[in-house]
Amino acid sequence: MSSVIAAIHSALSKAFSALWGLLSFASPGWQLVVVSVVFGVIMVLVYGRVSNQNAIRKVKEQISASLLEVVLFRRDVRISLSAQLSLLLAGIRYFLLAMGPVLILAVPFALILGHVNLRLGARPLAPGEEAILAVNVKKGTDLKSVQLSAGDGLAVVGPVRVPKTSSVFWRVAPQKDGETPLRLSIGSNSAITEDVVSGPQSTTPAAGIFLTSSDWPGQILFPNGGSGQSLTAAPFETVELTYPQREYSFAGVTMSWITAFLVISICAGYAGSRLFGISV
Amino acid sequence: MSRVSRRTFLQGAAASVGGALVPGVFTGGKAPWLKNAKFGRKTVVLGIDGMDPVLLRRFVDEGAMPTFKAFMEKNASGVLSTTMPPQSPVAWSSFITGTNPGGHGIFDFVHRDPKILLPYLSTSRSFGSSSGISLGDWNLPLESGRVELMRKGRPFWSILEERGVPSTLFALPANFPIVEDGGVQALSGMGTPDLLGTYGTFTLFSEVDVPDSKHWNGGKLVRVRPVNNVFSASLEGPTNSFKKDGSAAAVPVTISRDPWDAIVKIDVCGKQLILKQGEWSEWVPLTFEFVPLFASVGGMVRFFVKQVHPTLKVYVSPINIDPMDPTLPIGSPSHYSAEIAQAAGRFYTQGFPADQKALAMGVLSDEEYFHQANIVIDENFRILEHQLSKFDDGFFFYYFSCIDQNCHMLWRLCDPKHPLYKPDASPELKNSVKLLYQRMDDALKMVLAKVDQNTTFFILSDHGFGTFEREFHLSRWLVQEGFTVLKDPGSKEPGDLFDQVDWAKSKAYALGINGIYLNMKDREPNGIVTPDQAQQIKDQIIARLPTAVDPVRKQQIVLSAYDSGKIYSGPFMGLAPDVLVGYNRGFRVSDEAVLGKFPLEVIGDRTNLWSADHCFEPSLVPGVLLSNRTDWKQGSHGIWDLAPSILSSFGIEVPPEMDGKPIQKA
Repeated sequence: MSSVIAAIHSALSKAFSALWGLLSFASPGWQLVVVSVVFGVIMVLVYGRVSNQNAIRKVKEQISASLLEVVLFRRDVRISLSAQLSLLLAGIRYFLLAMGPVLILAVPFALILGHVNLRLGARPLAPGEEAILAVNVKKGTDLKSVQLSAGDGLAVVGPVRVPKTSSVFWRVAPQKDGETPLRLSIGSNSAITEDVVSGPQSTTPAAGIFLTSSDWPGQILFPNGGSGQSLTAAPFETVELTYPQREYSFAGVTMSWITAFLVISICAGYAGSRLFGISV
Repeated sequence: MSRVSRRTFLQGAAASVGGALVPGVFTGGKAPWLKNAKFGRKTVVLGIDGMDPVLLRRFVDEGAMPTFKAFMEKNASGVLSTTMPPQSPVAWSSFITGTNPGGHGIFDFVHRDPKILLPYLSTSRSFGSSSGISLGDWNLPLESGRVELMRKGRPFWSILEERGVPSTLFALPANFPIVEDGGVQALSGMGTPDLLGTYGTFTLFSEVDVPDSKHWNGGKLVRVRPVNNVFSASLEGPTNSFKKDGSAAAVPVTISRDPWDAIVKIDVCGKQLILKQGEWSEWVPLTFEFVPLFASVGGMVRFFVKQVHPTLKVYVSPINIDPMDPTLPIGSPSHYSAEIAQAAGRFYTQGFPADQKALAMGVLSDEEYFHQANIVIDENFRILEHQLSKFDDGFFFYYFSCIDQNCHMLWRLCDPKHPLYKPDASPELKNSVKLLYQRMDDALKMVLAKVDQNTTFFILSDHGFGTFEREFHLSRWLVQEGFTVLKDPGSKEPGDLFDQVDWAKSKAYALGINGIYLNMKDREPNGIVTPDQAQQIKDQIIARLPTAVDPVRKQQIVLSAYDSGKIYSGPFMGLAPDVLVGYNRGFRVSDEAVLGKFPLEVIGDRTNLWSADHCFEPSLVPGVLLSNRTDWKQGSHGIWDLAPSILSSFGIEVPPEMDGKPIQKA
């Protein structure tokens, strides 16, 4: 499973890197708008291909007809009740027809969400701002052997070693703008390096989990966006630096990227469905 | 009279605030409309609670306060008469309204409801929802709870607002809950509760028991036990008014301790903190769920890791109202607190931010307390800088509580004659009061940068300060003198909330810091004193109080006592104590006597670390007044003269209901 997911993420990473190359001139907010619109339209096109459009059209017509019947014959109890039953059955049919395509779309949706989150979900740390670096290692690893060394300009407090969960935590805070390297090692054999990103709000750190191995749902949602280092042979399980969540402001309303993404992509998808004649 | 223990009373007060929190979940404040026009004139007031004229002069003469020194040399300065009693809520209410206490109805920190003889905090009262639908263990409130400002009278900024003068008021005491006003930006100060509805209740997570923790007032001990160095605990928040059993909402807290080093990781409400021993966290926002996914309230705390090994002790600050998402009305407009927090960071919103109770109960050491007090001051400075940067017109008031709060607790370390003086305290602590005054010197420097030729500027304090070494059990003195009669005179228990009083025989009782009430027929539930007897009893008390002498120090305990009918006037005199007590310097009522306990002795040593006070005879503890307006009228000036002076600085006529007169000539 891990290798399949890794291959998909690798392909997606290339696609997203290409897309981000095109969008490099834009601010994160505009990048989010473009990605959401593109995603919404693509999703509706895929939905059009994987769904039974004729059946959906028919059931939607049936729903409209039943609604009209309820309104027109509201004084006739028998017809009204019959229309409501018909409406209920049509609603169930519509739900079942939509469920299959939605489940199919959920897989790429989750994969793509991970990549968008990687690029737009977090913001860089401001100088002096603190973040938690969390490391999980394989059970049985000597936690005292997990070491962190950081470059100049990175204040480090820790570690806190938690044997119960085989975890080690540090508090890190960049002291200046830029990318400050840190190096994690276990004994003399295993080591990984990563940069802690600090700087202007326009930059986008490769946020979240740097490295992950065993947890495959985690692998889907949190693609390896850091150094791309393989962990399969290392005692590391996950290495995560929690950057602050980036917030987006549209028309004075502040929201997380996922809210903005859903709203914009749904609107774009709806517009796309009208444009391409797809019933959703 | 109902029999309610002190603990039940405090729980009830907390529960009603919990109830009042409920509607905050559903209701939003109305959008404010602020006037934008420039007024042209500016008046700035720096309010420094408890700044003492004698100490100020001493530190200025020592060269420790160069900005004050320079200001006092070029401008006007003097003492400012305070109210009777010289308590902050009383004095600041007189500042706000320009009246004596009879005009604003605040006579003490603590008032009593004469119908049930239960005390309540004087400046605000909260009322929970009184009707609801029961569903199993749940209760669905059908109406809003509310918090009510008990300070009456017209605030001067309301008159300014009528004339189009915009006002900014930061942390002015006796102004919670904030009443939204279109032309006023305001944040509430002293009197603002924590999320539990108290004046501050901390939590201590401790691996070991702490002696006397059951008697803590203002703090809770939560025992925690480790499983492989991980502690799971629960931080109790406000009372959940949706629950029939009145239980508290809580959030889980996990503390992971490093097995080898003195450092912990704390997980709470999705936040992760790593703190070394002796380190304070930043503010951590919390969400207390009342009904999952339906109703919740937000608050915030700071953590302090007191000890990691061999046993864990983690202090959690009182749960403050989060200024980013205020659950209770602490700002006008309603988003004002969030604006400040966004610009200057989250800050203590509780009215008494320095955790005096944690120090008094030994949970924080002197050093730890002083560090926390300085966190508060640092926050105040950040906000002051931000607020000054925005101010360019109208009226501006900024308040510092640090001198008052910290003199109460740290005076003993700075006064070698104080019985609780510690010769081995650090030099910083021995100079702590001076250091606090020096921080006010820095504040003045910041404010003066904003004072120009068109600005009228006042610096004032509401009262001075003095040592507090002997505590007077006023309630026991009234028993000794035959004014209060106990059901069992031989009882060795102090009782609580007057539960020992034989009301059928008692003529008077003490409640609050400076007050004595008569047990009036048709006012108190079992009153026996008729109106024609009242004056005689008052006269007896007033005559005998100054004769009380400390048998150890051979000093007069009470310098003077006052008939409230002779010193107050105004529409709210009915709330006043009948007799006001003016203690001698060094003496004050005991904490026990404030809330209706009856210690066995009349007088004893003050052993609480609250070692200085100001609730004395007012002439002993005047405040300070400094101004760049040097055209002061002859004679003494009182804090009630400030509201008229502020109005006058804008050329506004002083309304007749104000007792005060402008300090400056026309």
